[in-house]
Amino acid sequence: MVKRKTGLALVLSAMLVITAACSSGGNKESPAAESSGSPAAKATSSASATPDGSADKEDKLDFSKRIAIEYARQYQQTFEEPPLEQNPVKQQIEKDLNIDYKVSVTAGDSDGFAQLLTTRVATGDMPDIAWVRPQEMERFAEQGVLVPLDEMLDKYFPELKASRTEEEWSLSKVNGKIYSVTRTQAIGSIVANYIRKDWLDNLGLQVPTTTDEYLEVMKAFTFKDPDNNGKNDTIGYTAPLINRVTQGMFANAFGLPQIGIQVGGVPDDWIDANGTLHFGPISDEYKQYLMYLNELQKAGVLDPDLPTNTNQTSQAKIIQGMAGAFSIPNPHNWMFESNPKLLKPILEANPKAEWVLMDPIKGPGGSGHNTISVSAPHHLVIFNKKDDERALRAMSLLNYMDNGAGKLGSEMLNFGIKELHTETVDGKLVIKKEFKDMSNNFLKAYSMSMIEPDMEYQNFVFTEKDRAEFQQIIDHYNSGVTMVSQRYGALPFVYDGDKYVEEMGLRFMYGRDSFDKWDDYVKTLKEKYQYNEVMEVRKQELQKIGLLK
Amino acid sequence: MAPLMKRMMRYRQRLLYIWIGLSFFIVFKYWPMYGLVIAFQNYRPGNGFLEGPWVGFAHFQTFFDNPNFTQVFINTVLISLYRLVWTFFPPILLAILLNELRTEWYKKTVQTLSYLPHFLSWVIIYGIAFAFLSEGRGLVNSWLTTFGLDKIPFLMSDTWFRSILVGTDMWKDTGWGTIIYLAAIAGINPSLYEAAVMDGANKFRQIWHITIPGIATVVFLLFILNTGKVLDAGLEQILVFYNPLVYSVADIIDTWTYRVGITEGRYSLASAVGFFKSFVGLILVMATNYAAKKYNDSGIW
Amino acid sequence: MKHTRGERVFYAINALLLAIVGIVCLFPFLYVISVSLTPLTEVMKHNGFLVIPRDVTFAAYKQVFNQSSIPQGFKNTVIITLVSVVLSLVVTSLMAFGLAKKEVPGRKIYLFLVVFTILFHGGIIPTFLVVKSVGLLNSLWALIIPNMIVPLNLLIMKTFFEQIPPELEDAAVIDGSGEYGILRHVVLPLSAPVLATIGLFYAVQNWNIYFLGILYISDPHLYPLQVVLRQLFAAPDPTFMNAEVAVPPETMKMAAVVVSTLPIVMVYPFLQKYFVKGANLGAVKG
Repeated sequence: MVKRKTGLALVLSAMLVITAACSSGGNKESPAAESSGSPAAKATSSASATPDGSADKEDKLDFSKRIAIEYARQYQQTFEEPPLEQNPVKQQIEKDLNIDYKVSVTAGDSDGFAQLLTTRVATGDMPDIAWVRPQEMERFAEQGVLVPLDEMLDKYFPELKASRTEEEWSLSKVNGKIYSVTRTQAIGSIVANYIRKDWLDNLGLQVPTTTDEYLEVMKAFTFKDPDNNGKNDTIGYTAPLINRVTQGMFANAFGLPQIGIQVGGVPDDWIDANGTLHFGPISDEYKQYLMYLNELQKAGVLDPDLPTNTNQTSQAKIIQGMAGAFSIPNPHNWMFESNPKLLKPILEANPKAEWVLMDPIKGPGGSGHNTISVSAPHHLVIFNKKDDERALRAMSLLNYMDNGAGKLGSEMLNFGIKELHTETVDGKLVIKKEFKDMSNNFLKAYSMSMIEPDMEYQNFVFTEKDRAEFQQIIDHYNSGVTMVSQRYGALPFVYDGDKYVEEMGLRFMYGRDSFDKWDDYVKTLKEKYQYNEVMEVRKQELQKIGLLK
Repeated sequence: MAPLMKRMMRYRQRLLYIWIGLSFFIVFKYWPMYGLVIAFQNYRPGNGFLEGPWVGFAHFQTFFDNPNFTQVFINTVLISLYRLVWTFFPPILLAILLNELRTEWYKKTVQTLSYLPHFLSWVIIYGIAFAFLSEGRGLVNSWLTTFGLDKIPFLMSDTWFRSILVGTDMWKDTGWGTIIYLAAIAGINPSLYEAAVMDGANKFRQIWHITIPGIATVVFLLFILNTGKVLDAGLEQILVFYNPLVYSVADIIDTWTYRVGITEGRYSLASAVGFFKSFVGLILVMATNYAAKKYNDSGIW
Repeated sequence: MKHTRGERVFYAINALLLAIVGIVCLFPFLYVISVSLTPLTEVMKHNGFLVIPRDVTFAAYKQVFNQSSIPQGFKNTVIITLVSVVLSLVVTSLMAFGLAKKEVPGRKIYLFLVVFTILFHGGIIPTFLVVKSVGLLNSLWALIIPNMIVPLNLLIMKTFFEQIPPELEDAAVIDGSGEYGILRHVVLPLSAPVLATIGLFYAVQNWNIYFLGILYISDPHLYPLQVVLRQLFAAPDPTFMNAEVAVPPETMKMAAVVVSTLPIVMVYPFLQKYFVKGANLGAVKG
């Protein structure tokens, strides 16, 4: 399950990457447009005395009473909050909102935090705001421990309301009411595919553009000693897991829009441009995709450890120069000049290694990286303490920190306080180093809901090359299908078919079951694992929310 | 009645000591046991424990009826049995051998070294296992190819996987397991050995007739308690080690519960499964205890 | 003492065998230590797996100790461990002593009650509520008291106590000793090995507290060491694999492992003197 979670997590994290542009419903306005490509680097934000924006509406909010607000989240980073006197950002927050602000950060994994939060709820000791996963949001909403936000949004925070489309708000809805503000992925997952250019050059090959070419190049990488060291120690493609969102390029080449978003190892369902619902696990596109992977595997060009790799082992192979191709989510955090977390060790190990971004390969089913049009793996919720004023004040904090509305908060986390944290160097406004250190230490834990990617920030830090690459990746995002997996709620019965799908996916890929058995697989899934009923329930759910006719 | 009262007076101090500890059990172990009832409800966190809609054995039924039940049940039992054999007896053997070392510093060193792996997490052990057994760059597979043999995908093979689980478990905890037996051996009267030597017994007979009986009660105690865990099978390790290619041999009751119970917030279902496991464990413990009593008068109670 | 030839062969083979065991068990620790002392790129060059450190550097350790929450975490864990061991040993030995006499009325019931708790648990939330009602939340006591007696340890102690020759007890009784006297003058002096062992078990259990630390404690100054370390150095949940998270390199993770386990590993060698065979049995002859 750790692996599976990793997969899901990878997907979710991929989705954390924002950006405007594509979405299934055609061009979206607002947040997408606002955050997409506006290169204006805003180096600073001066925190004003009152949150700006819809000033006249927010005058209705009464900040006169000092309230203590607690924000609980899990955070995997050094969290050492300095005392208040040394924390100007927190001081500003407390001043602007007239609160005593407590940030409770829990170390560890999301399951641990979920358990902790559930315990706190069960014992009546809830925080005011918490960062939760979709499943927790739904559960808490159904139990009635969350504050519905619709009224507050309409009355007091219209800018926040307007910052997300109806479709995006639908992710926060349970039984028709909004219960969370999300970290909205305006574009969905961003995954980039890289290939070893110097190997291509050594072998006199071009960057592959089709599935067939890709196979040939991988073969050359594996068998033709591309690093000229006389040893047979290279392979083609590596990944920490298989059948995850990172394999989107392969999936799309066969018309399968996505795999592994909802559940690692399981292809996602989609509604095509004609409004027809397709179920991923039994689709023909999925079968084609698996057959291609099977070909790759048979040819011996895949890292044999694919199903057993961890992030570390897979990255070690890349760094060592053992693999010639890989895919990675959130490339701007790993392979871009502005944040070369993976690129740096690669170059340290071998300065001559040249990795280039490649466009998705074309196959019989198309090309590109399809993705969920709108997704939100993280929700910020407000707990119901039977105190309307408290709920309002908590909401105002959320609003303040969101980059779609209040903005002051999120800008401070990125750029600090103008007078304190920026300086002019060579006529340009630059962030002081002490702030960068500080912000990486604990300030990031203050962040709440937002529209991702935070393009203002990204554009501020991106180099020219980064910007170009980012655009190149986004250009290949397709629209036209609606990914549905995140619209589903929990099934009313216990369904264990996902494990079977995941298992069979690998068995087909590794040739442990021949593709003659495909129909048996579908039959077993439908009958033994009750997939027939699952399909029925899901169809109805989609019809209820109006996505399917 | 009278003899009973007399005994209670006679042993009143011991009874007091028992009750000091027992009150701890009552407060922190028995009081929370009301939580077990959620196995028979449709529990929602936030509700009181005694409110929720009662569903009787419905969750148990769900558990038994699910299509994977047989597979996970068999896997659980098999893996547990392998573990029992391979991680219960080696520490005894190792303790005996350690005890026979003549040189003190050597004994101390090996002892300390032997329990080091116990302190490492499964994640780290997996990293080491991967470095050895992976197909790509694993050391073992490199050796195999040097000798002209085929590579073996250890971690993805249904024939090897369980052995790897149990083998790494042995590696991790055998040394730690010797500690208790060494303590037991330390309590054996040395004059017994001297007498045996004078009677002409060789090393093996000494071990067989003195050392082993000397630790027998501890062995029985640990064995009886171990049978109670037969439906556990090592969730933490399996989560770290397994992958879809070995689900068929490594999916156990707990991984199933984790998937469909906990991650979906089905607390009642998870609780029902836990209840079932505890119940089976209790029956086994009681049965083994009874057998031990009859055989050797060494039951726990 | 004269050894037969057969015995000498046995000793030689035994020594060799155990040397192998020792090396095999040392090996994973060498790996952890080596990675912690080697620069990251070197580590990656070797597939992420090393047994001998190369280019020895203490950078990873410097980073670990740079985190100001670590000394506090250390302090908390040391306090928890010391207090727990003392408290647990006292309460557990008392109860074990009480249960070690077959004639004690109700003994079987008490034993059954203890064993029952090994198998059945109420669950996290009910236990949390109890801990809360007793007022222990958010204090180190919440980590000490609720797990003060481990049933297994209790039963082990009882088993050991039962093996003390009854003649010794009788002798003490004849000398006018009460139950407490028996415990203090007969049982405990002869029980050094089991007390050392159970003390070690309790120490390790408390040293490693992690999840309960998160559950019961909200004041970061009270976090035990393992919580602090995981917060800083554990592999990040990939859900958060975005710009906010700095992935701690393998080297730092390993340094954290060494820092967190070395102290407790070193405890046992100091306890070994209590395991010397027969040293305690002088009382029999005396």
